[in-house]
Parts: sequence; structure tokens; C-alpha cells
Amino acid sequence: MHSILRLTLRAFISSLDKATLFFILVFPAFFIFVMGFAFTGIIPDFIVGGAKLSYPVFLASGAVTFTVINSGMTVGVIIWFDRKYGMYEQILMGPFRRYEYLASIILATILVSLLSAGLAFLIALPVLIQGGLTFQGFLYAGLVLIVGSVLFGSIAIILSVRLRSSESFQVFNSFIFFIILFTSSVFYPTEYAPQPIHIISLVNPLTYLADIFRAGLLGLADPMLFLKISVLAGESLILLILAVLMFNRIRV
Amino acid sequence: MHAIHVESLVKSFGGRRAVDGISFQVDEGEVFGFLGPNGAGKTTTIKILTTLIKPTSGFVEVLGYDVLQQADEVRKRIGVVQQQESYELNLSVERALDLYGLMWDVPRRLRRELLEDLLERFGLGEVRKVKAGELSIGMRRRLQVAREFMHDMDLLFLDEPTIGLDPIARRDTLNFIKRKSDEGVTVFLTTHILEEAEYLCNRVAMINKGRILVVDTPQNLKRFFGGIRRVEMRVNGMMPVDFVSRIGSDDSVESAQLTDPQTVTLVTKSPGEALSNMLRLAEKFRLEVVSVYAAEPSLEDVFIDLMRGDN
Repeated sequence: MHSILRLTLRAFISSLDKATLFFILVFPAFFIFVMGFAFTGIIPDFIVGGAKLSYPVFLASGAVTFTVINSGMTVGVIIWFDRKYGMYEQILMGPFRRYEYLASIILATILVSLLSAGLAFLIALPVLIQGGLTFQGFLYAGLVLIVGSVLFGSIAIILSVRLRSSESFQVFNSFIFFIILFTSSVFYPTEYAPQPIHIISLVNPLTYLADIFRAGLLGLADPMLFLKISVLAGESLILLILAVLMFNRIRV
Repeated sequence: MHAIHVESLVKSFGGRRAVDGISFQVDEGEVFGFLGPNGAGKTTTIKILTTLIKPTSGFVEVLGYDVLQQADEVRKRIGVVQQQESYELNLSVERALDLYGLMWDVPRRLRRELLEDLLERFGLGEVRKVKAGELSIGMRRRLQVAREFMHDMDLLFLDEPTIGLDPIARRDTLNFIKRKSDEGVTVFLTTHILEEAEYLCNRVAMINKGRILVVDTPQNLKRFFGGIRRVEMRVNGMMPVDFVSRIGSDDSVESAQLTDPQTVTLVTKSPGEALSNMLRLAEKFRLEVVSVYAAEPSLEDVFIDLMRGDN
């Protein structure tokens, strides 16, 4: 087996214990079935991309993308744990190169993101099926999830490289996680939000991820779709380059 | 061929030289001790030999491969137990061992065999399902050492491998390392416990402030540098304080002190002369001598002498 695959398997196994998987899946399930249906009574159906959507359908598709930020961060931060608990140096003294280690983290991030998004999708399926799923849209949504997982994996790598103490790491991790989550279009269409939040949402990659995923999965017409794809791909590329550059500067 | 060949190795951090022009060779199959006080440059040297960091200047060859040009070849053939802890928080002991074997591309069946053997040999069987993060420091150290034997190697680097181990686990670990050495694995060991070096090493290098002071067998080092010895005498009844001060002022004695109410311990460079002077004086004091013991100089005595001399 190629060394990158062996390292990917290792990152996959060591970051995905039962508790983490439970956390990754329970959150979206909770949002879909508790929050989604609890708010149905006060949130009437609304128009998104020219189609009328119920709040549970809107939220369910957003919740699937939400697993990507969750799992992307979970796997990406393995670099922080490896550095803290000595595995980073241990691996680099083994039959591996630096770039192989980094590639394995990014690959594992994509794998875990797709796996958790896939499971979240199955959980959300009873709701999403009401929104008119298409096979083409499904594949398209999968590709977008890959780009999104690279993006959030890169953010996690940057945090892992920059922050050394447990306290600052946890605070920053939670802070960024919640800022990104609640200023995105995962829970609500941001064009309906107050202007300041709407502006923030326009630089938030999760907004684009959620919008593109939703449009692809539910076959919604979005005139800004190409622009959104470009912004998401551009942000992913910039963050990935930044993550690689910062990773290469880690001293042992 | 030498397993390790180092010539004029220098490593500087900023303006400070952590390793200052050292040269040494380690033969294949040898257990080589690399001894020195904290900050002497031991771990930096290991990091260079294991290709983790690059030297500032000098030539380093490990198993016939240049560490700068052929680092990949070096890393495929070595095992490393770092001084710092290294483990995966969320993995159980058996999963950690298995995964480490997988990382080294060890076939599944062999991994199972090695895993069971190492669990038993390192006393980890009872905690095989426990996560590494929940183990005591000593058990984690056992796991870290055991893990390195999940793969084959020609050269094993051990950076203070017995830190945190209880005496039994320590002895078991040393014996296992000795067995590996007998099987042909070259071992490069750093330790602060000089009994371990004495027990394991064919040769040792003593390093201080980035420079090697001496390289030789423990026996030769004791012979050449172990000038100071301890001589103990135990008497029936209380040892008179006057006796201790009189023998302490003898020219052949460096110092004398009561180690318990019946025993005096001398530090001397001339144990024979000091012993005969002490026995003569004991006769004058009409002391009933119960036992006399002249301790061989240990590697630790040599180490302390050399380091104090260098400082």
C-alpha cells in the first residue's frame, strides 16, 4: 500500500472514534428533526432559487453541509494533536515525507467529510426526498462537498500550525466554528437576514457551500451559481496554499 | 561498514552551537551509548541522525546512506523511541500497535503475531483495550517502546527509553533491547541512568556542551578515568566522631563521612593506601571492625568526574 494511503488510513482511524462520529452525526440529526420541525409552525414555506421550500427541507440540506465543516475541522486538527502528543515527529522519522503526511491529512479530511455527509444525508433523506432530488444533483453536490472539505480542512491545518496551547486552540476552534456556522446560509437564507449579517455571510465559505450544495441537490435555479462556485473554489485554493505554506514552516 | 559515521558534525540554532564538531563511528551490531547531561546535544544529534533536522555542517552517514541526500533510505531502516512522549490519544493500546505496524506496511498476519507477543512481553495485556490517553505515564512509555518493535529495523535509536518505567519494566525493556542487539540490530542509546549504559553498551561516548569528551568501552573508561573510589568500614558499636575526622585528614583521603552511626565512608584516589591507614587507625582506636568494602568505580563516577572536569 502506498505510504500516503497508509497515513490516510491512520489519520482516518485515529480521528474517527465512536464519540467523534456520534458528535458529527447527532448534531445535524438534531438540527433536522428537532429544530427543523419545531420551527415549521412559525416559519412558512419560502422561495429559494425560484422554488418554494419548507423550512425542514431547507435546513436538512444545510445540515448535510454542516457536517463538512464539523468533520473537516475534526480531521484537520489531527496535526495539532500529532504535534502535541509527539506523533508528528515520530511519523517524520518513519518511512514518510512531509508532503505525504500533509496529503494524508487532506485526503482523510475529504474521506471523513464525505462519509459523515453521506450518513447525514441518509438521516436527512426522509425530509430531503420531499425537495425533488436528482441523481445529477447528487453527484454535483458530492463534488462541492469535496471542495468544501478541503477548505475547512485547510482552516483546521492553519489553526493547528498557528496555535500551540490547548486553551487558545480550543477557544479559536469553537469561535471560528460558531462564527462560520451561524453567519452562513445553513440555518436561514442570508438574503433575508439584516444587512450586516448578510455582508458577513458573503465572505463566509460555508454560505457558498450550503447554497451550491442545496441548489445542486434540490435542482434549484440560482443565477449566481457560477459566481458562487468560483468564490468557493477560489477560497478553497487560497486557504489550501496558505495551509501548505504554513505547514512547511513547522519546526521540529 | 559502520552503522553510523559522523565527521565534524555541527548544528547551530541562531548563534548557539548545540553540536560542536563531533566525530564518531558506531559499528554494525553494536550497542552504543551516547551519554551527557541535560542540554549536552544528545537529542539534537539523534534528530540529525534520524533525518528530522539538517546539520549546519559536517558529514553524517547512517547505514551507508547520506542523511542529507538519501534521507528516505535511512528512515526506512531505522526505529526511533523518542525522549518525548508520542502516542495517539484516542487509540486503544492494541489499536495503536496495530496501526503503527500498518503504517510500516507490516502484513496483517505478522502484525497480529507481533502485537500479541509485544503485549505480553511489555506487560500491556491487561490494558490492551484502554485508550493511550487514559494510561499512566509508565504504561504509555511501555506502549511507546513496544510499538517500535512492530516493524523490522537495522538500527534502533533509543532516547532515554526507560523514563517513567518501574524497575521491573525497565529491566524487561533492557533485556529485550539486548536480545534485539544479539539478533543483529545496532542500538544507539542515550540515557541518564548510567547503570543501563553499563549493562547494555559495548561502547559509550560522553558528550558535554556539544563536544564529545571521550569514546571507549565502559570497562576502559572506568579503568582510565575512575580514579576515585569509595571505601566503607563498619565497626561494632558507635563509630567515634574523632576517628572520622582523623581519617578524613589523612593525605590519601579526599573526604570521610559517617553514613550511619557504625559506618564511615571514604572517598579516595588511593584506595589501598587509604584502607591500610584506616585499619591502622582503627587499631589505635581499638575499634572492632565488622566489615570493609571497597566499591569499584561505576560509569556514573566516571561520568560525574569527566563532566565536572569539563565544566
